[in-house]
Amino acid sequence: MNTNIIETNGLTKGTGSQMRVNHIDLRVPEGCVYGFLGPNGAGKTTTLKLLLGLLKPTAGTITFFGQKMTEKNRLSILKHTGSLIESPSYYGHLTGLENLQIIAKLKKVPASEITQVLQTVRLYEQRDKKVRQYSLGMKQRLGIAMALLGNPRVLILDEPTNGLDPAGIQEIREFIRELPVIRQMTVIVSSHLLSEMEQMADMVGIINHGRLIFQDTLAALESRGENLEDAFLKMTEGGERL
Amino acid sequence: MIHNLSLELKKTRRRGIWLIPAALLLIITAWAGRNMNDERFLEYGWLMALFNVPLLNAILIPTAMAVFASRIIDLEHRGNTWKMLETLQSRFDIYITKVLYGFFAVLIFSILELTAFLVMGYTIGFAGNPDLWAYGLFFVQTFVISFNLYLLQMIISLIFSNQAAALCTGLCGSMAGLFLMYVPQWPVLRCLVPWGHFGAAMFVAMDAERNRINGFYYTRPDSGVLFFITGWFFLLLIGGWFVFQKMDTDGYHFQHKDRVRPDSASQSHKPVRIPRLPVELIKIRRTPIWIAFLTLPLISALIGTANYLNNLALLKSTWFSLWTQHSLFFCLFFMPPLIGVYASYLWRLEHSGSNWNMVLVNTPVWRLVFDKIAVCSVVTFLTLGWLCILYVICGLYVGFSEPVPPDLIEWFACGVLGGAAVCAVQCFLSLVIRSFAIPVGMALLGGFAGLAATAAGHYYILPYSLMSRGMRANNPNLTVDLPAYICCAVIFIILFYSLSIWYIRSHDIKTQ
Repeated sequence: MNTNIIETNGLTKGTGSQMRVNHIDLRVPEGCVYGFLGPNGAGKTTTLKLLLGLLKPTAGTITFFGQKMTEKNRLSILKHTGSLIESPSYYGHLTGLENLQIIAKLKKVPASEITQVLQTVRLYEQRDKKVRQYSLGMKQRLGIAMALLGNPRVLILDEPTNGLDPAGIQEIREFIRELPVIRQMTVIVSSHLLSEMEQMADMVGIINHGRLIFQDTLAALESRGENLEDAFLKMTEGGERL
Repeated sequence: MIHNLSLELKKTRRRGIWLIPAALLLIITAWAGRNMNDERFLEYGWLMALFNVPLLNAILIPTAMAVFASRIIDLEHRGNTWKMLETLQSRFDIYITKVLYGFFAVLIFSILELTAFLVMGYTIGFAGNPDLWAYGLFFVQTFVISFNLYLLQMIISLIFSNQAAALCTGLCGSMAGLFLMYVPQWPVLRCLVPWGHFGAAMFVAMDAERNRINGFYYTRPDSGVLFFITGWFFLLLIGGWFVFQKMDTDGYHFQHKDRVRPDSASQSHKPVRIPRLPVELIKIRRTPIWIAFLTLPLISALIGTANYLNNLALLKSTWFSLWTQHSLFFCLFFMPPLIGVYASYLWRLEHSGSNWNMVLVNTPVWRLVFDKIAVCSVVTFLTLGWLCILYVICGLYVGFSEPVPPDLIEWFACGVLGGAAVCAVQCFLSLVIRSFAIPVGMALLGGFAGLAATAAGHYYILPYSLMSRGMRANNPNLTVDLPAYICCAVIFIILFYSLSIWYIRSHDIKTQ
């Protein structure tokens, strides 16, 4: 593995009993698929929001592409990222195409890319339908399309397969697997679906109660003779069955 | 049913729902108290209250009911809870509970309003004793008419999940109701619309010549008003149930037409382009806001002109008198909430779903806030421009011999600048307060506060009064110290622009 494209040092959000993220030191190598795992409410989304500067950290630093992120350079760094956090963001009274046009204008991306991402997520035929009338899976696809727009160096996807049908899940998984190879992207993908992670991730970070309790390659984990599910349940004290 | 109502109370916990009737009551009593505390009127006090309060009710209650009903209904839209409720309760129960909630709220409000005026009358020391039957009638009227308005607003809030529709209706209704009070020639008009009922049901009249008030006397309400009020009540109650029963509550809300169309549209093979339109303008495509934007000034102009023509004996100075008729109520009471609707609508786009996640990753904060205030100001510019155009058209129709006063341009320019200051404040409020309706209600309060500030001679301390003063809403002969005026407006704009930026930067975003 080469250099880390994202690093956090002592990243913390909240204090005392309200500690949502507790001194997390992420190391995300360039060109990998980083699987971010944890039970519900472990702090996955909070960590990803912190990475994007959507939440202000209580303590700690975030480094993207070797640059420490500050309020000033935040947007110039984020220009090279694409993200889908929580549920997809969209304006329901506008069509899928219009929603993408907005993102394209904000990211200053040419129109040809809109067509490309629409075809990638297979929404091209549905582009003139209002997003309000999309199904959950279609909204999720639109969210992924928004994240992909502009061919970012880093893609941050929070539970991207939510609401997709089995075929869609499989498709997105394979797509994510190919991103580092074909487009030289680094992908951080969070999930609580362990089997999904085993199929996609090179690196795994496991978070529980706001603490990062494991971070290494999936291969390293498996070489210890454990499969991901056993290791995960052991580490999270079997707390929440998933 | 008691059980359902208690659930409803639980749902509206921490929503500050009682603040709305409380604020409404406060303004009405403060306003009426201020006007009645004049020694000349003490001898007519009890009758005069019955003459003045319906006017205040007509201005305030429709908008207040719009805000109130929207607060109660919108929580189900935003929480996407219809689909859950419908599996737990019958539709009829859902409907009737919402109706009863409003029934009791309006009842309590009406009792409090009656009490407030009785207490006020005795405290100020009105001569004699109140006629109990008259106050009883006043109470029943206030209650029934307000409840009709609640029902109407509740139904609109139910049908259109976009609360802009409900609030615009409330505002347009207020405006129409208020002006219809001044058009006694066609009493049937104010009987026809539920907002006009406050005026139609009035049973006290004023005996006045020019500016001298000789007294007040009992009169008959418009004939048939009882019939119309009852008719509306049953129409709304039953019609509302009929509509609610037929409605898809899965978020589509009467969009069957749309659902048929897109399949054919999606077959279009137009190449994908990026529109030149600024992002914020793409976002407000297909908004219902233009309805209010076109209607409110139109109502103001039509009825202002009618009123002018009716009072030719009293009003002399032609173009200037017509201007007062057109702009007075509009600028004082309707423009601030209308700007409130614009601002709420613009920020609601970002408040809904998890849109903040996307917006803040792609747009610098200063740019975002700037764009919102700018779009809001442009719409305000268009609204005021439309008002001015209507003014000129109406003036030409009336047939004034003089040319259009050149001052109009200055009034308009000042109005837009003051309007931009209101936009900055409302954008800040709608950014911080995620509810659609509350900032609109605050704008209405702001309009009143502005009126009080102007009366005290300090119109420049509030942007709301700055705007109405800039438009010369109460008197076109007033002069405005332009440098000071511009200075004040710019200070407000910069102040609230900076506050908005500070708020976004220093607070963690909240997504639903």
